[in-house]
Amino acid sequence: MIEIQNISFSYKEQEVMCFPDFAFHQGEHALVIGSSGCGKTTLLHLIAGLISPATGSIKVANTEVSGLSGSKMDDFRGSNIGVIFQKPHFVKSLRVIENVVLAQNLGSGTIDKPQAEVLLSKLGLAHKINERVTDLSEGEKQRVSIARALVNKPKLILADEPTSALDDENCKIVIELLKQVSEDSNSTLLIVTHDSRLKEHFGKKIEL
Amino acid sequence: MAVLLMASGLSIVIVLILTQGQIDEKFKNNLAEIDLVVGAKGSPLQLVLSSVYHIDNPTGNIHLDSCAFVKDHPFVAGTIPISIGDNFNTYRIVGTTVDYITMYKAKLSSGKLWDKPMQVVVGANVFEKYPNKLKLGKRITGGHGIGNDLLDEHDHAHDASPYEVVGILERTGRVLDNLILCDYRSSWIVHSGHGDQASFELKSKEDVESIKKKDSVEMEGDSNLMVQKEIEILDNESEEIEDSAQKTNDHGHHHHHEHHGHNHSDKPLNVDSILETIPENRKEITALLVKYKNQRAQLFIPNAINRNSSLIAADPDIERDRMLKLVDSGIQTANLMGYFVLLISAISVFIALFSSLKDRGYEIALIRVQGASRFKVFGMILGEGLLLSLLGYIFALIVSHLGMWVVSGILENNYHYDFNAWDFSLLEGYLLLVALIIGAISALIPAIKAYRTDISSTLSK
Repeated sequence: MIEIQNISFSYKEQEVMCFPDFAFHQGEHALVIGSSGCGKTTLLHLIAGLISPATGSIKVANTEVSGLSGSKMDDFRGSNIGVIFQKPHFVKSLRVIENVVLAQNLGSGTIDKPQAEVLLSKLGLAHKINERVTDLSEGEKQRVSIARALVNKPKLILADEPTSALDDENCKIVIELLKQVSEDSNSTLLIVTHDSRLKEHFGKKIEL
Repeated sequence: MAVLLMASGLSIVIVLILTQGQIDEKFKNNLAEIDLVVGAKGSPLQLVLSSVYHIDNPTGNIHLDSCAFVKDHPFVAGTIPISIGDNFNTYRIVGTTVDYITMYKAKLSSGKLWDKPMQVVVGANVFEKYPNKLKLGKRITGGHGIGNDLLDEHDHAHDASPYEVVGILERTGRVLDNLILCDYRSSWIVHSGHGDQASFELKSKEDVESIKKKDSVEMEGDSNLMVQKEIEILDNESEEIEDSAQKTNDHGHHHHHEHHGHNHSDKPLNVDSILETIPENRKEITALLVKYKNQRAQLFIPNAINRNSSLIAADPDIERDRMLKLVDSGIQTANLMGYFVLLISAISVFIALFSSLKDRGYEIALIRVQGASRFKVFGMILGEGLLLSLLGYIFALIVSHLGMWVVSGILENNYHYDFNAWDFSLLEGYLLLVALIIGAISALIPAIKAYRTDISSTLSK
């Protein structure tokens, strides 16, 4: 359901980056591995439609991402792609449940609070639903990020270094949860990372 | 902070709008049909303020005969004398003629107009303040000056010459409401020392009967007591007067000897006879209100008055304009201040939104990633600007009206002018629009900045 071909990109007056071609089916999980600075985040942003490639095509769910523009891209991304960032950022003035419900609203246009609560419970956050996000630990914050990314049951989940800021134990918890909820919604999971702890959890790898 | 600033700016402007409106209304309405005011030499503004608006002290008294010619002048439609001096608990007792009441088109809500001196007709506001003391048939005493409660002071209270309430006026929205009116000759009687005689006369049996008929049932007990009192005072006075006969050469002795053994049931001609005893040089009034028959009077009357070195003639329109000009420059200054604060508050809304964007850059990128379009984000920031303005406006509305309420309370006590704090004017509605526009404009640049956020570079920071 995701297909990358002949992608190249450069930031202003920087070197041109070239990326390997790859493709995955719906529901597959894979790692994109590389050291810092090699363009992992750039690739992620390209796939999510946040920047446009200089050459090549990116197809997500049979839609040419690089061809979409403006609010159509925003719409597409909101309903089909869930993004988990390296450092969890939230709307500080909202509580945990409200942040997740906001993602529902922006992505699908509707609100389903019970469903959000169920998802948060699955991630072990049932008791933190009404907390302020700023009161959570790093591991808990990352789990809320996962909930937020998955609440709309997106076809594709992009995770940018989701475990780099976590200790070993939390890393294990988060990655297990991530795999599990991705399976539950049959989403394709693409994790961009330099964290070698993750290598053992995933079979498919792409090296940059 | 931005909300507070906006609220302050808006409050100032609102208060000014309201004040200006009410001042205009008050001062235009009280002029009625007065073309000229004649009074004692002094400031024409003071004369108009004291005799027409009943604020401020009068410039002095004038002799009735010195301006009597005005009434008979062919270009003059009519004159109304005004006599100021006594007050009842800070409310002025004004001596005049019933023409004053007709001029303001006032109506009686109960009772009747006076038909002899020492009877008073009470204005609506005064009656509202003292409904028990000023019921029909009640007696009140006056005292000197303005603005002090003189029922406690003994020297100047004219205890011996009470006024009787015979009528109560309906509210007119004019200066009348705050006055107690009577025949202008009452003050001559009060100050001649014959006041007791007048009250004595009113205490005759016939009068007591007619008062009883007007539902003042309590009077019966009171009146007997008071008749008793009057007799005592009368006896005392007679002695005093005989002693001081040499000092006060205004009073003729023979009248006092007649008071002894005066028959209670004499018919009321006594007011007139008292009036007869008052020498011409004591027949004074405070001012004369003049209505012209035609505009040509303007060429003659003021000059004729001003030729008399002890009088001046003041044109109420001119004096009012002069005063409004003075007040105006004060209001203009306050207006400018208000606009200035508004400007500053607009800037502060702008700064607040702009700087919040710095911290919220990530948040904005975040919701963009989650599917919010550029327009949505633009609208979000704009909406915040509008919300700030709206809050500021509501705040301002409450604060300014409360402020007016407090101020009007103070004004009420000092000047008996009622400013209505809860009057809402259309201008305030326009001000809401202005506030919202200011909010929108201040938010525009930050909103555009949010619109143009580059998600990728923001997230990468």
